[in-house]
Amino acid sequence: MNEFEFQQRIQQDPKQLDLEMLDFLKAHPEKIDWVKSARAFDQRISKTLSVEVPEGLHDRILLKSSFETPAANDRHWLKNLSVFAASFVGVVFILNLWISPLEKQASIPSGQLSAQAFQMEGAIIEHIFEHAKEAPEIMLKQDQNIQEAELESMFLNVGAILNKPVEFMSYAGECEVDGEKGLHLVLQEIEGPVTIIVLPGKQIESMQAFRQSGLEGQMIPVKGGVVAIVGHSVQQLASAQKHFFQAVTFG
Amino acid sequence: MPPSNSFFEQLVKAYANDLFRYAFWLSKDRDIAEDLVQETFSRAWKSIDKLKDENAAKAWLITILRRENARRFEKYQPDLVELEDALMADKAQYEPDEKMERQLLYQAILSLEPQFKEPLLLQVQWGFSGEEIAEQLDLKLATVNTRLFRARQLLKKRLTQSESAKRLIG
Repeated sequence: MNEFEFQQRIQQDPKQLDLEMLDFLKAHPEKIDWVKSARAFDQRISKTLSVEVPEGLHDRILLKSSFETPAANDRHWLKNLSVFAASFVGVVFILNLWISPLEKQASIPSGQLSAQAFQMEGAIIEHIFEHAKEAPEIMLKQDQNIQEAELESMFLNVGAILNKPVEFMSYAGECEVDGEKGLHLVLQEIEGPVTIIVLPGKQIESMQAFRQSGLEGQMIPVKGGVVAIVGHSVQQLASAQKHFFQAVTFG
Repeated sequence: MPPSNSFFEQLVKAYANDLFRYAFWLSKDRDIAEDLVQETFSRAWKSIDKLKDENAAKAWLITILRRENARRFEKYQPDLVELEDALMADKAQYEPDEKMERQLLYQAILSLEPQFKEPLLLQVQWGFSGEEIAEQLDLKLATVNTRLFRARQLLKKRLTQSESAKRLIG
C-alpha cells in the first residue's frame, strides 16, 4: 500500500483500519496524524448532522399510530369495533404506557404530582369554560393583530421559544390558570378550535390524557412546565400538538 | 406473533430522532422531514408483521423513508434551496468560532449532491458499513467507497472556499 492508497482509504472510512493499513502505519508512524485528522473531521460532520429534533416527535408518531391498525390485525378486531372506538382504546392504551422524561426541577413525590395533575385538569377545563363564557370570540377565526416581538415575548414569559408562526393559531394571550400565569392559545384545526395552555412551573410525571365535560385533553411535560391541549377529539389534539411543537421549543 | 405496541414504541424511541435527521438532510426542510418520519412509521406500523428480524429494523426503516422521499419527488419538485440559517444561528450554546465553523459545515453538507450525501449520512450518522450502504443504495461497493471519498473531499473543498470568502468579507 502506498501513501495515496492509504489516504484514499482513510477518506473512505476513517474508523476502519484493516491489517494492510495497520502495516502501513507501522512502517510510517508519522502518518497517524492523517488518521487523527480524518477522524476529527468526521466528528465535526457527525456533530453537525445531529440537528435538533422537534419536541414531542415520538409522542406524535405514537399518537398517529394509535389511529391506525397493523395490517395483520385488521381482520380480527376491526370487525367488532367501530373505527372511533378502536382509535380511542388505542390512544388510551398508548398514553398509559408513555413515559415521557420529566424535567426534574424539584423532586415532588409521585402521589403529590398525581394529585396536582388532577387539580390542573380541572383548573384548565374551568378556565376554558370561563373564557368561552366571557370572551367567546377568542374561539372563533379572527385576525388578531399582535406584533411579532410581543408574541415572542409572551412565549418567552412562559419559558418557550417561538421559532416560527404556529400554524392555524388564531388567538394568543396571557392568562392565569390554577394560580399560575400562563399562555393561552387557540388553533383553528379542521374540526374546530383547539385550546393550548402553557403553564410554566407546573410538573407532571408523564404525558396524560383526560376527558372532562365532553372535551378531550392532553397534558404534556416540557422543560420547565406543562403544555395542555384541549379539543373535541383526539384527532384534533394530535394535529394541534404537531402544529404547536413544530413551531415552539422549550428550555 | 402479533406485533406489539411496546415493540413499535421501542422502534420509535430508538430510531425516530435519527430518521428525522436523515430526512432533514435529504429534504432540507424540517416540516417535510417530520412528515417523512411520520409517514415512515405509519407504513412501518401497518406492515410491522413483515419485520421478521428485529436486527433488520434499522435498514428496513431507512428503506421505507427513502421510498417515501422518492415518492415526494414523483408528486412535485419543490424549491429546495431553503437554508435554515436561523436553526444554527440561534443556538447560543456554541462559542462564536465553533458556531461559525458549524454553520459553514452545515451549509456545505446541505449543498452536497444527494449521491454523495446519502452514503455519508448512512456511514457517519447510522454507522453502516460500506457493504451495508451498497446494499441499501443498490450500488457496488467500489462506487460507495468512491462516493464516500468524494463526499469528504467536496466538504473540505467547500469549507475552504467558504472560509476564504468569509475572510475576504470580514
